[in-house]
Parts: sequence; structure tokens; C-alpha cells
Amino acid sequence: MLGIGPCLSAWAEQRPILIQDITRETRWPEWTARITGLPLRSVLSAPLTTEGRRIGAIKVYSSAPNAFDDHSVFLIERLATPAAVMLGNARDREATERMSSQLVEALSNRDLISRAQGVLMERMKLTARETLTVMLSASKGGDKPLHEIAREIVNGMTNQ
Amino acid sequence: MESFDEPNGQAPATRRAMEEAGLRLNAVWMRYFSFTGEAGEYEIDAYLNGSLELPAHERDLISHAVNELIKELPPRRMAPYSGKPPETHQEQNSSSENPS
Repeated sequence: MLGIGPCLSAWAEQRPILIQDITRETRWPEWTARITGLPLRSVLSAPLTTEGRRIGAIKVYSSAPNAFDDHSVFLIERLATPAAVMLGNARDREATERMSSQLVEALSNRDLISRAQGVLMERMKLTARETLTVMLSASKGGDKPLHEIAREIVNGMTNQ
Repeated sequence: MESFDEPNGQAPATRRAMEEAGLRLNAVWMRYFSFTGEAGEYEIDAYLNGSLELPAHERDLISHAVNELIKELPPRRMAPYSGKPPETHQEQNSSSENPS
């Protein structure tokens, strides 16, 4: 990863970037040095942005110089808008799914800990808060996650 | 009944531990919530930044959430010794008592 180049500029500056001819391009010297030798003469890159969020950039290459003009810029921007919306939606959906699976896990552990609290309250005649203190010190002392301690307490009860 | 006294800078030290380990507030809150923690994410944020006091019980649940998440981070890479093949990831896994 170079960290510089026309695509990143398109993304950072939020505007389309057009390179008519790589051999005469001076704005990204490190990038042009790297791609020398590749069958690549002109580049068109447009930012992918939806609702103010910068998703990335889309790019088209050509092996011929001066392959793109103002109409190409118009076309790529027409394409970039729906592409950014679709990518943004896919990203949101993924984030939501990840979030809800974490929440399901957190809820089931919370439930497990509450059940273990109930067991300890009955067995040791403690308050709910005191049982959590007992489980916390067991977790710290035994280097086991709190929900593992709770699971052992709940399982120990059901096995008896 | 609730002990609110916070003499030893528990909140800033907890925040530093989170920052050093690169833990996100949301992940810490989620773990704390799974510990039957009662404060919301917004309150935890306020507590960590010194603008809200929480009872000792809730503070310790936050600390425990942070500590569990830190222990779950992948171990730091170790330097190899001369003449020994580098320890593979497999060996590192089998030595830990991870049940998965």
C-alpha cells in the first residue's frame, strides 16, 4: 500500500480525478513510478459517497492515452452514486447483523449470570449484589471469565 | 449503602487501560451489560471521562469487563531464540486453556 494515488485523492478530495496520460502525469510521482511498465496510460477515478459517508472510490483504467473525457466523468459519476448507496446499505446491514449477534450473546450471558445469582442467593443466603461480588472474585482468582463461573454454578446446581 | 467514594482514580485508570488496549466503548459496555451492569453506554462514557460517579459495584463490573476483554486480546509476538524453530501459532494455542 502506497497510501497515495489518484484513487485516494478522489476519495479524500471528494471529486473525480482524470489522468489523460500517465507518462505526463506529475501529481503522484511515487504512484506513477510504481505503475510504470503496466499496460496503463489513462485513469479515471470517482469517489463513492452516500449520505455524506465516504465509502471509497471507483476507478477505470485504459491502456490508451486520452481514453476518457468529460462525458466519461459524467458517466462514472452516474454509476458511482447508486454503487455507493448499495455499498453503504450492505455495510449497514453487516454492521447490524454483527451488532445483534453480539447483543444476543450478551443477553444470554446476562441471563446465565442472573441464574447463577439466584442459585447463590438460595445456597449462601446472600443478596443479589453480594453474589455478584462472590462470582467476581472467583473470576479474578481463577482467571476464568465471569460467565464461565456462572455456568459452573448453574450446571453444578442442575447436576446435583 | 452505596459506596460512591472513589479515592484512587479508578475511572481515569480504567480509561487509560482501555485506550492502551484499543478497546472500544461499545465493546466494554456490551460486556459490562452481560455482567448485569445497569448503567447505559452513555453513562459509562460519562463515568470514564470523570463527569459521572457510579457506585463501587458498577465501577468494578466495568473494570472486570475491561480486564476480560484485555485478556482475550491475541498475545503479543515473542522474539525467537537462536537454534530453535520459531514457535508456531498452533503451539501457542494448545498451551492456553481456551476450550474452543
